[in-house]
Amino acid sequence: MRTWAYLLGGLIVWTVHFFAVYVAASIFLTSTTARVVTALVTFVCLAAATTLTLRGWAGRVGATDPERRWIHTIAALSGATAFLAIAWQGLPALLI
Amino acid sequence: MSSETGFDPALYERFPTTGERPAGEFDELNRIWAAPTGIAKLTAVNNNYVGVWYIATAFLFFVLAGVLALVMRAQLALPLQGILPQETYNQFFTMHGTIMMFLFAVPIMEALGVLLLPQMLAARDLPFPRLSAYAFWAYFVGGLCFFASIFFGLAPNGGWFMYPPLTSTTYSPGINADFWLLGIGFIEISAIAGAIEIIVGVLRTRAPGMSLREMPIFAWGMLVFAGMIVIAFPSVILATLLLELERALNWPFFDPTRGGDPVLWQHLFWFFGHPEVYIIFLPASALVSMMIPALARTRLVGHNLIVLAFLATGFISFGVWAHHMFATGMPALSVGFFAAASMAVSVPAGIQVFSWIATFASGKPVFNTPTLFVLGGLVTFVIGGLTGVMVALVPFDWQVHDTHFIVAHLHYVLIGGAVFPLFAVFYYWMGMTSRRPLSERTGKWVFWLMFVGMQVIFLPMHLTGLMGMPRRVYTYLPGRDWEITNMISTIGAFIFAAGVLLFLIELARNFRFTVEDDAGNVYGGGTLEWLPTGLYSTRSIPVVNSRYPLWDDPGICKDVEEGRYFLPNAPTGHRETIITSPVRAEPEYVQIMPGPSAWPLLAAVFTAGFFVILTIQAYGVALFSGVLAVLCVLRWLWDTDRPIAVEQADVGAGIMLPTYVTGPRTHGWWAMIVLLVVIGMIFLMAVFSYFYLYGIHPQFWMVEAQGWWLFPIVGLYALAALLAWLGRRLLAREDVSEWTPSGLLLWGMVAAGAAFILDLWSWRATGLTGDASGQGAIIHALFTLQGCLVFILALMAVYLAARTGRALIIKPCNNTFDLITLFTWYLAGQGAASALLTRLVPGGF
Ligand code: HEM
Ligand SMILES: [Cu+2]
Repeated sequence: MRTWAYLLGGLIVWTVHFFAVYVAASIFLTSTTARVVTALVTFVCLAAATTLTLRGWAGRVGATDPERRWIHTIAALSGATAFLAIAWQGLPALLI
Repeated sequence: MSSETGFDPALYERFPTTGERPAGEFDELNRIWAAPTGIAKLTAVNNNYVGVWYIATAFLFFVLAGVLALVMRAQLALPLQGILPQETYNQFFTMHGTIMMFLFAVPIMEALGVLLLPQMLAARDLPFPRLSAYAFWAYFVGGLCFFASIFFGLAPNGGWFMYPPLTSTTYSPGINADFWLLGIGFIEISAIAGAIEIIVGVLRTRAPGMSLREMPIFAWGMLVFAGMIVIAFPSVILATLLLELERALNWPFFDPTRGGDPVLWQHLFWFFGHPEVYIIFLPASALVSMMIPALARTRLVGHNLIVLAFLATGFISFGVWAHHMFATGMPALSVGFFAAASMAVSVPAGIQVFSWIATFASGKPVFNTPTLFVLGGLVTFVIGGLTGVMVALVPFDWQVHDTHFIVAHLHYVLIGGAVFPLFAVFYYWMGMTSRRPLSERTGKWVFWLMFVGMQVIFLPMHLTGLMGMPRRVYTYLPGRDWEITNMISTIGAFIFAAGVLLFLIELARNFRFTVEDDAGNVYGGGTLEWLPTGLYSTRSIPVVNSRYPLWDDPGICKDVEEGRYFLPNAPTGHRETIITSPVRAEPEYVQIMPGPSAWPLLAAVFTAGFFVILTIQAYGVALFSGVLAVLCVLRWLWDTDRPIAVEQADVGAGIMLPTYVTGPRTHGWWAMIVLLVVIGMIFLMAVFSYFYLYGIHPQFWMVEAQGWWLFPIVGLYALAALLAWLGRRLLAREDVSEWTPSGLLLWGMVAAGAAFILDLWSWRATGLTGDASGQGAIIHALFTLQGCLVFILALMAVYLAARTGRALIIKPCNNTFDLITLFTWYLAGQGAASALLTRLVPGGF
């Protein structure tokens, strides 16, 4: 379980983020409140994705066992993917 | 090297073993795995048989739905044609879309999983062979009955996404819509059964040493595929249940005049429907990623990135459903979010496409038939992906919504992303199940006809759509410039059909089913499915430490065939496979597998019967069929979960593994957890519907049940959970006579039943009925769900008592008991949550 949570950590953060912004827009509609909530959620999730990426990368560099190393690699990649995706997903709040 | 389970990886060094294998052990293996003959062959559960039947049936539905498409295209060739009257056209496009999506695309992917996964993982079979057989037969019988509705003019006619209010009783009074709602029922069941099988199979039956890092890409694809089914299908299960309840009992889930909302259907449907297209695309693309290395004679470029792309797709595809609803008037900000997410979803697909191109570029591809199909699919899919990004742009989508532009887009994606890859698969893997490979010469004809046909049909159709021709309309008036493009599309359809026909002829000429003397590895693949096999799969199960074992270890085929690896024999005298750990695939225990049986077949026939007969409203007969189905399932389960004489088996090289294991590490436990996730998702979607309806029409929420009822209700549910837990604990005790474990569980069932009845009764006492309002409807829906669980628990408790009576519940630990306990815990949790929700939101205290 912990291995999986770590492996998929970035993607989970991304999922939390997009559901959170959908909920915000559904409840507060197109309002300043919704934009502020979006911004807050986005920053928190970006921070989490950054942490996961850095941790994964550090683990990857330090690992000797090929399996652990692989898990760190995927965790780092999924964190990095999530970072980009979250930033992109938050943008509409600035435009609309 | 570290270990996951305490297994010492140094033991792998003992393989391949040296020395002679004892005489006779191979014959024994053959005897144990032999298939029944004659008519009894239908009771076979071996994946080699079930997989091929499954694929053949799915392909049959592809052809049938294709015939419907041809007739539709003939109707649209010229304006004001009279081939198909309006009503029939409606039934045709609904059946075509529904069959293609539900009876062809998803089942064929599961079928390929059933056939290929055990071979690729070098398992003897998937962990629940009878479940695959059940899934197949339910689909086969139910699917054919469903299709037959078109001959009686009873086929559904509301389009493959069946939007209410069009499909409500007001506008669809006939039983056509019920055919869809219930006909999809057995498909949902069989898809979920398959998904459970695949998840547990991929995670727990891999060859020893095949860690996640070395797992073949197809296994990754299927894992994500099955995970997505588990999360997505519950949504459509709930949606169909609600709409059927609305139609049958007048509970207004989707009727805005009484506190329901038709857009709720769209949310539920598309929360399933969008992932559905990835459910189709992922396995197909995973197969492409398996074939390309062999076709290009080099390793897949960016293996890890593809794994990441699969996983990312699995998550993000649940975040874009509302792009099908841009025209419904959502808040502008929501629309913006969904547009952004929809564009992001193309990135993982792009990663795969670039990785394929890079692999082809770095290898030496030969332009044989599978390569052509793969490349043709790639080109087609990319075009469909580009129009996909176009419709993710909201203003553009408003322009082309519900026009033939969308029809062109979806066919580009589906045919490029799934159909062409599937034909590549047929050519590439034919050597595994046929004595003769398919001809390359005709193969090229098949490809070019299909490829050219595809472009001729659908490229001009974009223009038809941009010129404004709506989809799902049976004809058009002359003089709108739609004639030319429509005629071209129709011509293309017949070219495409010629390709498919040629393929059918080719199958008749060259496909000869076999398991033993197959044509073999014609295209030189490097993964385990090309090991020499029989019905027992591989003679022995190799230790894997590479992504392309056949390329990296030239001796592997010989060693495997001579039994120099794991499980070269049948040490227990039963069918068996090795259960390994999920991350590093370390051997954990020997699973005893069931053999041929007629019960899954019968259970499937009666399950399909139940749903089909329900549609024609012969409720008594349907119920009878349902009861028979349950009895058959119980009878089939009766033989399972029995310890065998050999407690520890030598699985090769002196490594001993247990043959009966209980608790959270067993494959049964895992399957139960997956099943509970499915049930939990259904509940979660119902909770979503609850909030949704309350949020949209709070003025219809007038009834309050008294809050203090919560204490007895939640208390009784807690008691049920506690009794189950206590029963499980007491199983270990030798001398219990009064409070026997199964007795406790029965009492737990009674407590849960009492809680349920109390909850229901206290709500009914307020005068609330299902047809009163959106609130009444959704509360009654929650009761329906909970009632089903209570009913199943009652069955389980009785079954447990019967097993106890026959001394089949062995001490101190027992899988049947464990699983029923898990179920009781879940049920208690859901019941309490539902009681709390209905009383605290919007607030009853
Ligand atoms: C080349 C073969 C095919 C042809 C000629 C074809 C033709 C058509 C036609 C004429 C329609 C109805 C258009 C309308 O009036 O709205 C349609 C709809 C559809 N097709 Fe196909 N089709 C083909 C293959 C496929 C495949 C392989 C799939 C899926 C795997 C598929 C999935 C669908 C779906 C989902 C719809 C929408 C049905 C609806 O509107 O409810 N088709 N197709
Ligand atoms: Cu979509």
